[in-house]
Amino acid sequence: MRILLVEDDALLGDGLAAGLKLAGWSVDWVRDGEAARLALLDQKYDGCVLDLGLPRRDGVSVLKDLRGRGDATPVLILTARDTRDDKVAGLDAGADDYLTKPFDLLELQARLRALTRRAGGQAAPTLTHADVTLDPAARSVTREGQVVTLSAREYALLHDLLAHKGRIRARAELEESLYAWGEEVESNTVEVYIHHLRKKLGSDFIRTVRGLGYVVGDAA
Amino acid sequence: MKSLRARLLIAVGGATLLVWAVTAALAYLSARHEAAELLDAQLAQSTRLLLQRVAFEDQRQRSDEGEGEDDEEVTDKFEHDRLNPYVQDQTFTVWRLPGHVLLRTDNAPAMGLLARTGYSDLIEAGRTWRVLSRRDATGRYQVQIAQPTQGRDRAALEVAMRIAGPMAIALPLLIGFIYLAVRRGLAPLNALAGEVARRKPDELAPLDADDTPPEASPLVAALNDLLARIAGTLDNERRFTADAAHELRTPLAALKVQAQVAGMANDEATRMHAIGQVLAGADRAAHLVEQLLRLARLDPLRGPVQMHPCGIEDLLLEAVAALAHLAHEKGVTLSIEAPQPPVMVAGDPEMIAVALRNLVENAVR
Repeated sequence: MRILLVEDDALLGDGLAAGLKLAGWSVDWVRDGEAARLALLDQKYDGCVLDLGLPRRDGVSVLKDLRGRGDATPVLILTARDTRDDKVAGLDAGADDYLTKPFDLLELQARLRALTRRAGGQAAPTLTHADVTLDPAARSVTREGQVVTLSAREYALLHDLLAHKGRIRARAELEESLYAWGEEVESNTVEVYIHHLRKKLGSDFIRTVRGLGYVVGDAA
Repeated sequence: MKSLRARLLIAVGGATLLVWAVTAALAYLSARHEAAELLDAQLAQSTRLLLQRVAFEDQRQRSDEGEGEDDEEVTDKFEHDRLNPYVQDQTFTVWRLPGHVLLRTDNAPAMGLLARTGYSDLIEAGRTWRVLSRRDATGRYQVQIAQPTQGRDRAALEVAMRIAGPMAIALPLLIGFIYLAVRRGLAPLNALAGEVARRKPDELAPLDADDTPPEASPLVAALNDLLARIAGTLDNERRFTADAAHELRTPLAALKVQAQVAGMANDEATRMHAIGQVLAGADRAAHLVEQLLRLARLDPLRGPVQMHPCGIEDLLLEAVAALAHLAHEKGVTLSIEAPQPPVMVAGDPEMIAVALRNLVENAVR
């Protein structure tokens, strides 16, 4: 799952990027409003953490631009502006959630999980298919009640496929979801991780749709 | 300082008392004068009547009896009408000249025949008397009527009291009215004091100047000015606190996030990086607090900003000089390129200096 982080403060942005990566997200971090607008145009994100007081373009303007295009990417506003009017304005501009600084990293992670879950049209906090259950809050995967140990990339790939259950995910889509900017994408990595997951979860858990990509569950 | 009410009461009351006393004294004196004239006229009337009567009686007696050498002295007692204060203890003696007493009241003072006629004041038997002495036209008889001055004074006093009495009753009434008028006149001041006293510490709305008398309006204007300045100062401090809290939010959020990342990280490199960031964040927060304190130390009570023309270059030189040490520590070179002629802006030099210093300091760090 790939997140766009928009924060102009170097120290906070660095901490947020690290904290979100720890929770299993791929994070792209931009430091001004214009860069955020371009990134959102260029890339399909699973969520966006947006500061309001930004150089070059205000956060609310970025948000309005995004919603104006009909883009439904979940957006969480993270700001020092804490008056009721600020919150109302932010939510009415199209934000899905609003968190004021200072905040708790665990709370931010939980809110982002909730946002991405709802955006995927799912109500339950865990993702399940057949005998496999993925718990995003605990970052754990179980099969028939037994914990399955996965690497960070394997987990991220499984999370993406389960979150898009029944939809065919192209290799390029999966790569974008796995790798943030600046991270080297090795060739055949997706195939390698799929292979590892099939070994751990059963060979028919992830199906290959030839020429299109991979899918968990029956393709719609 | 005495209260306005006491001042007014003392001044107006004192003046009233003084005027009243002078009026009473003048009334007494003029009453005395009038009473004396009245009583003197009474004396004159009596002497004339007595002389006519005595001359007539004496001549008739002498023509009846022949010229008697030694007429007996006639002493009579006159009843006084005590009901009328103007009827005085009138005593008289009548002589046939050159020295024979014809008639004498028993309470008449034992005074001899006076050489001179007309009014005089005599002391006889321990009392003072008002005496009118008169001879008839033939020069054969003389009448001396004496009246004790004590009675005359009493009559004068009586008249004076008739005038002063109502005035004496009027005086306390007048003082009472003056007191009430002063109280009523000063009521708006009391109302004003009450309004100020009733206020809560944060009620800083200006006082209503329309309700105050013109005499108190400079005071109300000064109070309103003070209230406005206090409100401005409080407002500034509130805004400063809010701004400071706001400015500190992002560094605090960064500190917390970095600390949480350090706690959650499962590899050493991430943890060490996060801990380094926590330290950097603490330094930055401390620096921010330092700058906020510098702003807070700008005298919040000096009121609105005074605009002066200031030379930016001089202020910049000061800021750079103050930060030269820090720049050296950080290995940063500071230089100033200033255009000619020097740029002048309108503003508060002290505040511009703080702003420049903060700008340069942020750049160096």
